[in-house]
Amino acid sequence: MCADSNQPSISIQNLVKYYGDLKALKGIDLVIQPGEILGYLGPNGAGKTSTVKILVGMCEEYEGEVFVGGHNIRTDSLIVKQRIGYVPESAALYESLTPMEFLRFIGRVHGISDSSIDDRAARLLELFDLGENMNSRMSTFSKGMRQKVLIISSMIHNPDILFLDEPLTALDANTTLIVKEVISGLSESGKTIFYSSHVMDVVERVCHRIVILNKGEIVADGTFEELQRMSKRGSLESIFTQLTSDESQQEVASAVLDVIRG
Amino acid sequence: MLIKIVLGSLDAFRWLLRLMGIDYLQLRAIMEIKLVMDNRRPGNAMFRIVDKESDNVLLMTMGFFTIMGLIMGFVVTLTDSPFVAMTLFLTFIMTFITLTVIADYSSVLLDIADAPILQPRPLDGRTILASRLVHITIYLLLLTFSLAAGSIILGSVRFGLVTLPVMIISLILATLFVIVLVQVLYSLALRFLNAERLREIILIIQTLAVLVFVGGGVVLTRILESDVLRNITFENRWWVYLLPPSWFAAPVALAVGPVGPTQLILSCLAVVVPLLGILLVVRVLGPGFGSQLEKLEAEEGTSRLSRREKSASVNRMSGLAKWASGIALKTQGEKASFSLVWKLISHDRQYLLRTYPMLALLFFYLALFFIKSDQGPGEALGALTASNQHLIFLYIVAFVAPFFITNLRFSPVYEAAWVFRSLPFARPGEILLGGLKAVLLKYVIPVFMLVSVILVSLWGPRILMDIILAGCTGTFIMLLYANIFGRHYPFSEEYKVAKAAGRSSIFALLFFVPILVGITHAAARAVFPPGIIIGIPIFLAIDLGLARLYTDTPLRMVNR
Repeated sequence: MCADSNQPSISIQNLVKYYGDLKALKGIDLVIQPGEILGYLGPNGAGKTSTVKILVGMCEEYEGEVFVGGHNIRTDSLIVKQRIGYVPESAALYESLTPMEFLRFIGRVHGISDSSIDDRAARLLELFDLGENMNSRMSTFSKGMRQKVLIISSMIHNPDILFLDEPLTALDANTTLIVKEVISGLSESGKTIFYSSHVMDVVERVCHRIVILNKGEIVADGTFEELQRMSKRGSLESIFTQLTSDESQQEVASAVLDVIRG
Repeated sequence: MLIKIVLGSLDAFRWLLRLMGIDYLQLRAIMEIKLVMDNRRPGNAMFRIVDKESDNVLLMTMGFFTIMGLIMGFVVTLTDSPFVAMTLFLTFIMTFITLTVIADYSSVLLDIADAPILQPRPLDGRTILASRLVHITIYLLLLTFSLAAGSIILGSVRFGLVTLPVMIISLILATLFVIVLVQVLYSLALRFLNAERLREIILIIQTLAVLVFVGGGVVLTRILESDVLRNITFENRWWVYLLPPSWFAAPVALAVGPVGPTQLILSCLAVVVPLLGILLVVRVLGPGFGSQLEKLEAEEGTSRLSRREKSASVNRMSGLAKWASGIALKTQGEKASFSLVWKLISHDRQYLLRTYPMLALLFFYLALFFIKSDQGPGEALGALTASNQHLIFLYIVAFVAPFFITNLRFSPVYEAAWVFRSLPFARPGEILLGGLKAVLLKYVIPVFMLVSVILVSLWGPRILMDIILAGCTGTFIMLLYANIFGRHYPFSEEYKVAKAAGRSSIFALLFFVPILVGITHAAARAVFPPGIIIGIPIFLAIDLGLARLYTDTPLRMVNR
């Protein structure tokens, strides 16, 4: 089931997405190779989540061509969905189920045998420190615990391509470290990771290549070093602000303070 | 256990489901978790009509329907023609379950909440649609058979035991037909209407469902009293072909004895239409189902945008309400909670769902009184206005009004009430009072005024004092409820909390308060008329006291 190495993992050509009259994506072109970890950055409302939703086949109304794992997501979505994993931005889970029940369900939908899925689920839950909560309902879980279940559910079927939308939300430092290591390990074994976030330092450290989106358009695309050359100051944060904002943040902050102080 | 049985019987239809182009193992996995979740859901949302405060909602509902169905069952014994009997009986059952599907199961059919879970997985649109149809079918069959149990037994006694299996199969086919019908309706509606309009229509139908539910029983007793049914026949009219209940009645007639070609054709329709329909629905509508729901979801997003423009006109208070609220509201806290609650009770679907049917019921009862008697309408009205029955109407209002208050504290987004808890208020009374006033001005007072105007125009000014006293006692009843059940921040609890065991018995007890007060009022009118005038200042004083008590609600009672 491993992707053909001559073929890009993800290929997006002139992707346009409208919400009513609002043009959320204004022609995205992007090619991602197997084994790549792509950091997808952008300010709030830039179109990050829209892009991800189209790539995982949750949204069929778009213009342009999108290929994932060599297949057209519009026409062959079932084949694509069999090979991808996805951590959604919002913690969407069946909360009255236990993590074991939920993961078994996910496994069955992917056609994995019960014994194999039970074994994997139990071991992964144990590793993510949820061993004791394995059979209690997720409605009692904290945000971080739910996020762990989501992460496990995105990887349990050993997908070739992973879409992570803010995957580290609410995770503690230890788990963050584990997830980052897992991501790097997956990429070494040829898996592709599409990492959408606005947490700069994680993207800076984990991703091979960084794409910055602003108002539905790609405004930067390259390695961290390449992006650094574009900016006077060196941090990803300053590059980001320089590319996606016209105003000086200091000025805005002082204006805010003026309003508050009256 | 029950889940195993259901899944086991589903296995028997594996071949049929595969024929529809469904991945059976995936479908089974979805069904299993759905049933497990239903089992764990507090206050089974599947049966909202009776879901008040019990744990055994499903059983209770089924018991209730069985009793209703038993009464219904006597229709079967009223006529000698099995065809006529079954047609009547099926008309009732099919109307009822159609409304129930639209009212209570639309949330299952049009669920977009689990889209982020299911859509990124390799699931075909057909499999998802089929899982929803199967989910509904399971519950609907339970409902149909509890409703039909009485009639099935009575029918098989009257028309012979042969009809028993035929009736059961007929009912299953009729249920499938209803599901096909509703799904087709929804697909059409989704194509032509936007999400918001659709939801409005569902709300109207839900209100209608309650009416049919209550009204059906009343109309039925009328029919039972009359002899009309005994001689009715309609086998040979052309319109029986257009009346689906007659299709499913025909096989029963067929089982009893020789019949004409009409029933043969109808019997064929009964078998062919539902089966072909379900096959076509899944095969044809299935693939596009995902994108239809996606459209619904997208529209939810955009309609929120457009609603912002629209809300200006929807939320704008009438000049009268504005004037009244200007007088009624004293502090900034009251104003804040008043305008918040005013907006939310105009929009919040769950609040409207729980209160609108009560309003409909109110007007239904009003109408009922005028059609009740066997005399001509003019005569009946004369007799009515000579009586003191206007008190009944006034106290029905007092009976319904507390629902608007006790439901105020529930919301699906109850977490948002942190905002009240974080406010620096020593006495939360301002917030509570503001909310109460919004409910009064928005719903209770207009309804009371409307009823009063109708009553005065019929009975004449002689009942003015009664109306004023009923206004005072009604306020008393509402403040009593507010003090006992309404000491919560508006929209601050999830609905299930209402299940708290002890509370339900107090609630049941308080059901009698409006009745008791009403009876006292009627007794005063009959025995000691000046009591009505004397009662007004007394109740006014009590009202003021209760209002003060409510305003002084201590913080610890609210911050729970």
